Amino acid sequence: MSQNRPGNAGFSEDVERLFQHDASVPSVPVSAQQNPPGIAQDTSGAHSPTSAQHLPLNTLDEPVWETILRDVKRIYGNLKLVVFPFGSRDQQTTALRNWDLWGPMTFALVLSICLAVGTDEQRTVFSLVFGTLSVGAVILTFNVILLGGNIGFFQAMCLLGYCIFPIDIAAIVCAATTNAIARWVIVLVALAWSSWASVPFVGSSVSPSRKALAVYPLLLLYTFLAWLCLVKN
Amino acid sequence: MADAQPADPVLQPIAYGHPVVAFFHVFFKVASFLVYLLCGLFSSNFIANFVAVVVLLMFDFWTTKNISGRLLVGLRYWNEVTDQGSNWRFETLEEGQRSINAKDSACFWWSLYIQPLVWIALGIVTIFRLKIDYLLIVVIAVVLSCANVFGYTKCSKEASNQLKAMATNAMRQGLTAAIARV
Repeated sequence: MSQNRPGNAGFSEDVERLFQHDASVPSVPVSAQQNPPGIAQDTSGAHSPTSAQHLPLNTLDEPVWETILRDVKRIYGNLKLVVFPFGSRDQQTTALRNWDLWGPMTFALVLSICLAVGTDEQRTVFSLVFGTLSVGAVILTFNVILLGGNIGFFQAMCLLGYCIFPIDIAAIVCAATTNAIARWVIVLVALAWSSWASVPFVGSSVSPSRKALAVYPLLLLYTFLAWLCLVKN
Repeated sequence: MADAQPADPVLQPIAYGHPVVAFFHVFFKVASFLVYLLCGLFSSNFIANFVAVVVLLMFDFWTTKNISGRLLVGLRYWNEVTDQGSNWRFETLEEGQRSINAKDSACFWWSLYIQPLVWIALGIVTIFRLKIDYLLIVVIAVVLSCANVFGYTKCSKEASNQLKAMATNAMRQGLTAAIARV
């Protein structure tokens, strides 16, 4: 109970702040007013400054290739942050605010294909893996949000998707080799890597007392996927 | 229903301000839809079909969110997360930047709103045909298209709010000027 109160107070403050924002929007053009806090936070994050630079500008009439280039840089930045999480942890919590869905979708498709190819029931395995991934990601996201996590829906999807990357590698290796020891090693390493990359993100977005509740289903999902890699023949 | 959409940009390309963008805006929507409908006839490889439709849907989502919205109707939305939670940011055309082509705009909004409706209808059909694995594609399509509908609806509301505010501001300034003169 005592923990709830500060949470509620914080929430109502947020709501007030939201309304203040809304009230002030019509008088001044949005792009002129709302940007400064966003930029300050973006540049403080580990994100490449190039993507932050564009944000305050009016991007409505930029050339198409510039849009493409920005997204490619964004995907590269996200991947680097998630897959090589060697930087400081608070940089990472501010990262991935520039979400994209290309990475997650690609990794989900690659994993589903790797696990399905060569099995007797390709169709079933493929849709099972892809369905588990997408439904699992949605449920995990709601779980984190319901636990009071400060994380956006697409941001969480993006994060979970990018963190499958090590398991993708494990699936590819497992498809290539039949050596049991090599498989065990690569799968365990991939699982540890995925968890190591994703747990800080999820854990830091909820209050410390609820961390386990947010992290446990995530590990369950990754363990399930890693186990599928392992048992695939 | 799908045939009605691509016909317009092909028939009267000159009337469009950004015919290429309008074409791709509609093309990916129709292509994903047609591939979904017809893939069963040409290929029984579920994985290939699935990947083809999903990639087309991703192209469509990206094009609509990042390219066609800003070029066809002068709107763009960003959803970013800050310490206060999810934050929407909207870009709209500023005064005198450029005007919006009526055909571009009609093409954009019609196809934007029709797409989720078509997919929901397809989803109902798929449920009755008990093809659960194909339903997964439909769910992805509905989620992606609805995200764009939601974003752009919010964005256009924001734009009209700004216009109204500008109009009232101008009126107020005119009034105060008039009163000062009296």
